[in-house]
Amino acid sequence: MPDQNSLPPRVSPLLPRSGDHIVDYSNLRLTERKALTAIQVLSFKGKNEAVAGAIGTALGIECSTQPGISNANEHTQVSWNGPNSWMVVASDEESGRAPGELLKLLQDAVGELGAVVDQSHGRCGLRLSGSRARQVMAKNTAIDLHPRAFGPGRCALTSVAHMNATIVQVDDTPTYDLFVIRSMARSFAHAIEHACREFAND
Amino acid sequence: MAQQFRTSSGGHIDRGRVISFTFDGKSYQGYEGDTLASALLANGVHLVGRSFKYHRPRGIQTAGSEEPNAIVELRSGPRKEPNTRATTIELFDGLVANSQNRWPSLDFDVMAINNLFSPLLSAGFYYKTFMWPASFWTNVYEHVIRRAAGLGTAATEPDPDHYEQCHEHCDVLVVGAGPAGLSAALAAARTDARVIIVDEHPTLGGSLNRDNYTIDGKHGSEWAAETAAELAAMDNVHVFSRTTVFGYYDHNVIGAVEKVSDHLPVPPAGHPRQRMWLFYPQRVILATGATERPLVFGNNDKPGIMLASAARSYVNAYGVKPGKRVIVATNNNDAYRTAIDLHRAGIFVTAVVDSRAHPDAPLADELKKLSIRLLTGSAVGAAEGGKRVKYAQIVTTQGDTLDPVRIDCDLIACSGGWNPNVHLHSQSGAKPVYDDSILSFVPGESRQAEVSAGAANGSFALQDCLDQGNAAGAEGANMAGFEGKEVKAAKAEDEGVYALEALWIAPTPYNKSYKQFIDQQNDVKASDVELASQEGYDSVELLKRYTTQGMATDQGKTSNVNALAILACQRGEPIPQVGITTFRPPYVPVAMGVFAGHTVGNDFMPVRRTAIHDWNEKQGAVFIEAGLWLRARYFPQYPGDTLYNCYVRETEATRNNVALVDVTTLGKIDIQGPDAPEFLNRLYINNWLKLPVGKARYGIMLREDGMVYDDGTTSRLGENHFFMTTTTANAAGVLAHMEQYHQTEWPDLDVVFCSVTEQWTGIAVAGPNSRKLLEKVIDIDVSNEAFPFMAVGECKLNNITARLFRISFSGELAYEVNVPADYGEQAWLDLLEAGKEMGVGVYGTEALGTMRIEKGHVAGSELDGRTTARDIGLEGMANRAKHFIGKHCSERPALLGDGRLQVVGLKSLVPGRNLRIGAHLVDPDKRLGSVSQSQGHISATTYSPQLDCGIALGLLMDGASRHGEQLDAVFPLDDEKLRVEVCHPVFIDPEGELVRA
Repeated sequence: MPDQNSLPPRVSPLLPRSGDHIVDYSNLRLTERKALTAIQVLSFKGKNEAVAGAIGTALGIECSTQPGISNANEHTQVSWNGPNSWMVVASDEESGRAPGELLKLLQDAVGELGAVVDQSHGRCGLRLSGSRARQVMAKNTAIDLHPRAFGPGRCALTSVAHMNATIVQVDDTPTYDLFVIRSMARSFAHAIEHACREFAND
Repeated sequence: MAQQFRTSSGGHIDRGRVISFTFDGKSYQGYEGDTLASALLANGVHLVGRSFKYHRPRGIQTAGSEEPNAIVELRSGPRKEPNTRATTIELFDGLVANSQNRWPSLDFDVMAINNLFSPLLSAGFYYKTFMWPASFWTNVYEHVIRRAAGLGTAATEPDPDHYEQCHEHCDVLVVGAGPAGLSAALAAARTDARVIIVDEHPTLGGSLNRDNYTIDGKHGSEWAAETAAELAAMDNVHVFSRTTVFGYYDHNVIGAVEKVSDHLPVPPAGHPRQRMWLFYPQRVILATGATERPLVFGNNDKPGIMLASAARSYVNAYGVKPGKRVIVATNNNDAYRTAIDLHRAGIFVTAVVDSRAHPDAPLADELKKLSIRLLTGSAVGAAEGGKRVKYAQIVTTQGDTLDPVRIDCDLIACSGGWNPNVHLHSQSGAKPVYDDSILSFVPGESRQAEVSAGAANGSFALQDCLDQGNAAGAEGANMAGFEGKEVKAAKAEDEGVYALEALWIAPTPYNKSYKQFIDQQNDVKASDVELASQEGYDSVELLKRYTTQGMATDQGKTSNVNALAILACQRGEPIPQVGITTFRPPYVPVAMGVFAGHTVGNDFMPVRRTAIHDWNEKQGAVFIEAGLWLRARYFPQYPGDTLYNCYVRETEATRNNVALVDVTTLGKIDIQGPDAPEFLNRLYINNWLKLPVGKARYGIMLREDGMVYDDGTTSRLGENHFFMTTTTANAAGVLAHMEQYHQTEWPDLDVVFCSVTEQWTGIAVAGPNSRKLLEKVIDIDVSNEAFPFMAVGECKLNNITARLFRISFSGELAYEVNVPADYGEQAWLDLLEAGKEMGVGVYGTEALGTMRIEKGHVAGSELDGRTTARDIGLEGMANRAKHFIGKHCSERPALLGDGRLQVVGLKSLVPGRNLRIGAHLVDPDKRLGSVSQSQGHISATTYSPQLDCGIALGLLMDGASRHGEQLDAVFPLDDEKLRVEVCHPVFIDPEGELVRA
């Protein structure tokens, strides 16, 4: 029996590949963003701006009602997730928040203006980074990720390797955070990893 | 002697790198930079194939992807590729190729006897010659003909290589990197637009690498190399070589195939063999060049007869002498350059035969200077020779005599003019138009954001190509929003007068009948076109299908215009009236693997796994696909344990004790908002407004047409907060259905919803001891009083915050626990641990199905899109006083009358025999096979351990009122007939006492 208040460890859907870098080349890295907190916020009718404002104030990160915009501080991302929806993603480890703290923070901030839904266990986050990252993405998505069309602070909800995914560009390396539903995590990681192989030795 | 047909110098080959290869088992050597065709020619090999129908010896006709004859089987074993054009295969060390469609050998092919029977094999022979006796068609003729005719054979083993698909966006896409394409790319790139330039060759330059042009004072190939290097160095340019654009699709989507590793023996580790590109350009510039067309004369298919441009390509680009004694036959000025280039390479050009009576060729003086004989008003009427042309019969085109002049030769380089490559333009939806000045088709009005430049546009003079490319590139970039200062195109030195006169069919010597081939790949002769026309197949589309002209790997690139012209002559009409075949993708053959890309084998579809998947796997579970999900179907306990044993054991464990099942795959939707109850009330047929918080309710939703769409339980977690479950199959569909109605019908409702299927692991704990088990791990009172049937609440399972639902699919006392998925496996282990001492079991979908049938719960096999709530016996749930989706259509008289198929239970009356899904229900005593009306069918079957007999659910005409009747369940495919008794679909516990216990 576990002791009274301790939670069991979260089990990654990517086991046994979880933890280590799934791809670790000189110019390319694919790594799981483990044990993320992912909170989906949906605004009720006519409350879009109000909810965006509430999220922004609560997190100190601008929350945009414009499509395809993602803002972040060093540990928390707020990404547009639909016409009346956002996804707030954070690593508790990096943010130093206790489990459930972010959910509570958003619930309190949003109140009766919208719905706050915990999706932390339903999403798998992968970080693809390196000079070849855009080429790897080109094998898996039709979205134009060229610096003239996309960049840090942008996100897209699209098909990646034939799976529904969210792409969030983190920096100019380029680095992309990819979020996919938990059940497809292994197929997804496999597809991305396979697309990387060409660059193993360059 | 090795490579005795090499020139002493020249060509874009690396003479320092010798490459060994094998053709038809014989070893040869070539150089890096060769194609298989050029290397064979360097070794004096001209005979490379046998023709499709007549098995006539065939040689290399072209030096490009339009090649109709020189198609070979490349590589061997699992990497074997049939029908590969020798003219496009880059030579690599150890290359193995074999000729096709010959037996026992290329040199001696017994099927060449077909040549003698050719009168039986004329156009449309398939439809008329071998018609009698009729029974012979399938058994004899078709078999023999198909064996004798044909192309290469496919590999029989799986392809070991990998293929992939890539996407790339740009402002300007340039197809073709000849003078026009390079010029266009450069002009566009200088505006800073994002430019892609694509060329099928390994080196950019197109005709500049195959001809001796001068641009800006340099050799054309030098200018091309410098321009290519300049482009490659620009950040905004992406250069694709070895890449062929094969398709022009709607919305300016361009498909291309990149031959990443085809020039290597095997792909380097991690690299694909080929890669498909989808380009998304703002503007497209088609600089696809032109294809030379052959001349039509007697025996024009003999090895040693090739296109004039091909002959000089082999000399200029590959340093290969395609012959020793050459006749150049032409109807235009362009082929004069072949005579000059071949002469300069040390080949004896015995004559230039020009069909024009008074050619005005600027290069005629040059010929005179080089002492090359020029015969005007003359044509090759026929070629003679065996497996290589030996001499030509030269006839006059002026009609004054039929007596030919014989000229010996081992190569006839011929030009019938040039066809702009309008294929992609045509694929884009535009209609090419006929241009009388070049006797061919040129691009018509654009239908998409594309423009043609240079030879593809019917402008053959080099300066025109450079100018048009330059203008198109600048304009394309401009239209995509980029400005640049005007830069003049490079300056060419070229006479550029093309001046052709029609010579569609050469007169034959003595007016004798010869085989005059139009389409060499399909063995279509001028006489076949004439015959087709006489027989009424005189439209261009019919002609193609009747004669097969323009089919197969080359798609008539060299033959289409000639065929059209001869058809026009037959019909006595001008060519534009006869029309043009519509070009369709692909421009060149593309391997199926390229289209499949990465998604083959285990990667065909993504796999969805639950949090308990690994545990299931460790237990040796047998899985079943449910959509993309893999679900545990049953759990064998020892080697040889059967499906039947397992599901009976798992069912009994549940019915008699307690067992767990993973129900994660059910769709789960979180619904919130002030109007959430009203929204549900409209989605479902039953009432939702008054469902108390902390309660679940079973609901049925219909489609607009009144048929049942989906079912499941929805729970009220808070005043304005609901949690819906759907079937596994319809999880995504129901969410989309809700989105559609919310967005289009009821945008006024203040409600939001999202899928939470992935957030939760669902575990059902079922069986009479389920409460006892849960009490050990759950922190809330789960007694019947505190947590009755259909109760819902939050609880802690050990320390995990969970949701608990008192619902049952098995018909037993049961609970469903939902925990956040990362804790799913732990929760499962905790429940197993807690139940260890009472002998808790697990079950898979097979036992799940058995129990749902015993309980009469409908599922996908009954909710087949044709059943109404009334048909499945649940009309009582509907509140027809309110509005709900499908209400009105479900009240259509035909759905309420007699004769509907309704859900019933069925019991096998034959001891030990189980029923079959799909069996038809018919009146008893009808002999099997006799005509009898089906009255319905069986939708789901199982053996019921509880009842110890085979049971089933079925859909039976007016079934609800026929309980007690006996019918026969017939399954004609297996000659099976079983007597069944119709009964109520709920076989066990019809009062539902167990679930409420």
